Order: sequence, then structure tokens, then C-alpha cells
Amino acid sequence: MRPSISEIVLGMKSSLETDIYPLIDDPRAQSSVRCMGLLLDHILLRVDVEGSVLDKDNRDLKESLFKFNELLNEGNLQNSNNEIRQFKSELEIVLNDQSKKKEGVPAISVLHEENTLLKGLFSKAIKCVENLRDDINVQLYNRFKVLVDDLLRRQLNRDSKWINPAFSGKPYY
Amino acid sequence: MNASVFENYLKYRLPETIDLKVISFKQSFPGLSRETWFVNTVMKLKGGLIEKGYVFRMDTPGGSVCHIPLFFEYSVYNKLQNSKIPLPVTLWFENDPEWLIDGREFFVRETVEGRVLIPELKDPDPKYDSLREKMTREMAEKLALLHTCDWKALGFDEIMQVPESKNDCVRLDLDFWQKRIEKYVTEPSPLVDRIMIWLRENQPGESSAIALLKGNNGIGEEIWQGEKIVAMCDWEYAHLGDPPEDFAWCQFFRDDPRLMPMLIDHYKEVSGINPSLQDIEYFKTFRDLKTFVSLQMGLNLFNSGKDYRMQLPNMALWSRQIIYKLADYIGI
Repeated sequence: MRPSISEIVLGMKSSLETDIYPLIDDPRAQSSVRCMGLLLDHILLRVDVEGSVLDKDNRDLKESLFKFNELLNEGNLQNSNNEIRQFKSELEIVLNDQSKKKEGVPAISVLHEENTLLKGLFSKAIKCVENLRDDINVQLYNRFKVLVDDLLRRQLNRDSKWINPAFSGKPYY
Repeated sequence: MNASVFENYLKYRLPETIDLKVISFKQSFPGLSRETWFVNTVMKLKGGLIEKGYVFRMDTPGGSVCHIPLFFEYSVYNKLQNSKIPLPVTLWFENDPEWLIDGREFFVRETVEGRVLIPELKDPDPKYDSLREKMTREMAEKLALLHTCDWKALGFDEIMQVPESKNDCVRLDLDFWQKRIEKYVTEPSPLVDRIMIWLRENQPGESSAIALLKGNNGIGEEIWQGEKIVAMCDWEYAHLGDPPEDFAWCQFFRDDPRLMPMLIDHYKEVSGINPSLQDIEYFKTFRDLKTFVSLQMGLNLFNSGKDYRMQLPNMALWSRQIIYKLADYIGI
């Protein structure tokens, strides 16, 4: 449908900058308008990439959690303590559910919900490894750490695509 | 907000005055975390006509962006009133439902004349070198005064977590921020968890002292008259900890390679405390994490519709730059 979301947002931004901002004297209101301008830039980026970025991130998180589970099994760590037992059981339920094929193109909100769930699980995974640190050998600990850091690196790379272009300058108060 | 809100309250608090009138009032800007209102009054007192300024400080209408109770900040001011730290005179904390402003509690202090931002500091013209040096020494002296104050005698152990030993300062603060992350950050962040692990792994050893720290300090936070600090303000992040942390926060001075060594050297002479450069570097990382987390916490109010100021999502998104820098620093 025309105008597209991008075209509408560009029009809004132009109107803010040329029609509204020059008429405002109050620094608080000026700041609000400047912030809206940056957020509109951000929306323009998100409109284009949010779906694919979230989808990639969710796949990556699932794959990393799967590998994480394998490392726990390999180290025979599933029964190390209560926290690990609970985490592993939660992890397996989520991975099992995620492996079922879902039909159709998911809405952004669905991808977000899934992303929050998987990131929460990955956060728990990071804490679990720290708790196990004294009980596992250095090589295994380092493999966990590499798995974590590699995922974080890829996430940073994805994240920066919708942040850097709009927010790389000084903040607008 | 209208003048009568302030006028009626001041009349109630100052019954000895006659014909008290608010002649002007304005809100400070930017004031992202809390609202600060400067209120100028005129009144008759003991037969004379006097002009007097007051500052009203309160949470934003949606609540506390920084999730630190307003009463805590008031208590810091209050407990420091009888110390040698330069401070505005703090008058009243108000939580009587009859006097709340738009349902919000607030505290009132006297206005202190002076400047918060000093643009000439950034002017490379050598004619400002002497000012820069004098202000650096002044900053060092006030940090030394703060870090050597007897916080226990002033009652800070009643409102702050007390480290068990000099080895416990950073651990205690990391635990405090871990709880804040779990409670207030709006979405899980594996990267923040990873940075917290790095901060625990790399925390400094024994602190040089267990001191009262200001947290955010330096240019933009204190009130200056000429090259002297006449009031230290904004104490939300005050806590008991390791002195190098305040050097990591010290705005403007921390980024100047010529002034920073001068600041540290003069501080050492005055306080007898030796903040190591390595520890200051560590606390810069911790400071950045605290800044990121604080800006994320502001999103709670925005996302729940309690505070729709556009600055909140803007700053939260912008602050991801900080986390990228931290990730790079810790080798991710």
C-alpha cells in the first residue's frame, strides 16, 4: 500500500523538522522534537530489518542453547545441583517446543515474545555456567565461554544495524 | 504547575513571613531522572523586604526514573548538613498528603547562586589554563573532604549498605546492581550478565578506604562560584565504597589527560588516599554499566505508559552505544 510506512515516516520527520521545530522556543519541547526525529530514523531502520533480525536472532539463540545443552550432557552436569536440574528441564521444554514447525509468517510481536523467552533462557545459561565454574575442568568451562561470547558477538553485530545509524552521535536530551 | 502551589506551601512552612509571593519559577532542564523547580520569592520578614530562592525536587509524574527513593537523596543531604561538605541548606521533606504536588512527595532546599556548567573550561585558549588548574585542585579538595568524612558519625550506616571490610566494597555494590538489573531492566540481556561476570572477575582487591562516595560528580553536578565549589548536588548514587570510583565519574576532569593526573596528585596530598589508575579504569567500566542500566530502567515508566517523555526511549536506545563499547573493552 502506498504511501509505505517508510514514506509516511519520512513525511512526518520532514514536517517535524521544517514546520514544527523552527516555531518552538521552549528547550524541553525542542528536545522532545529532536528525540522524535531520532526515533523516527530508528523506526525507518526497524521497519526494514526488525523481522529478519529477530528471526535470525531467535534461530541463533536456539542453536546456541542446543549446543549448550549438549555441553551440559557431555560434561555429565545435568544433576550437578538443583539450579542446573531446573534450568535443564526448562531448556528442554523450550527447545522441544521450538522444534515444532510453525505455519505462516509470524507477527513481529510473536518474534519479540520468542526472543525475550530465549534471551531469558540464555541469561540463565550464563549464570549456570558461572555457578558450575569451580566444579568443571578449565577446558569445558572455556568451551562454554566461547559459545557464549560467540553468540554475543553475533548479537552485537545484528543489534548495531538498527542502532548505529540513528544513535551514533551525542544523545539529545 | 502554577505559582500558587509553591506559594501556599511556603506560606505554610514560613508562618513568620508576611506577604510571601512567588515572583518567578522555572523547571530545570534537562532533569531526566527527577524534576527540579527553581522558585523565587519575595516576602516581608522582621520589617524588611527580602528576596529568597527555593528549590523543589521531586520524582517525575510517572514515578522515579532511577528507582532510588527520593527520601534517600533527601537523607543524604540531611545527614551532610552538619559536615564540612559544601551543600545547599536542605529544609523539608514533604509527604503529608495535604501538601503533595500532583500526588508527589518532594523536598525543598535553599537556592545556591552559582554556575553548574562552565563553558570556558573547554575553551583551549591558554588564558583559561589557570582557571582549569584552580578548579581541578578545588575538585580534588572537595572529593578528599567527602572521602575522609566520618560517615559513621554522620549516620550513613543507617541509610546505606556497609561493606564488611575494605575487601567487600565492590562485591557489595555489584550485588546491589545485580538486584537492580533483575528487578528493573525491561528485557533479559545476556550481554549485561556477561559484563557483570567480567566485573566480578576483575574487581580490585582491598580498597584504599571505605568512604562515602558521591557517584555522579564533577562539572554539571556541582555549583561553582568562580573556581570554588559552593554546593555539591544530586546525590542519588551516593554509597559507601572505594574512592577511585568517584574519579571514574568525575565529569570533564576524567576525560582531560592533563588535568586528571593533577586531580589525582592533589587529592593524594590532601586526603592521604592513593587511588590507583588501574582501579579508576575498572570503575569506568562499572560506571558505564551503571549508566546503561539506569537508562534502561527509565524504560519501565515509558513502556507502562506512566511517562511518555520521548527522551526516555531515546536515551535507552542511545545507551546501547555504551554497551557496545563495554563489550569491546572486555574482549567480546
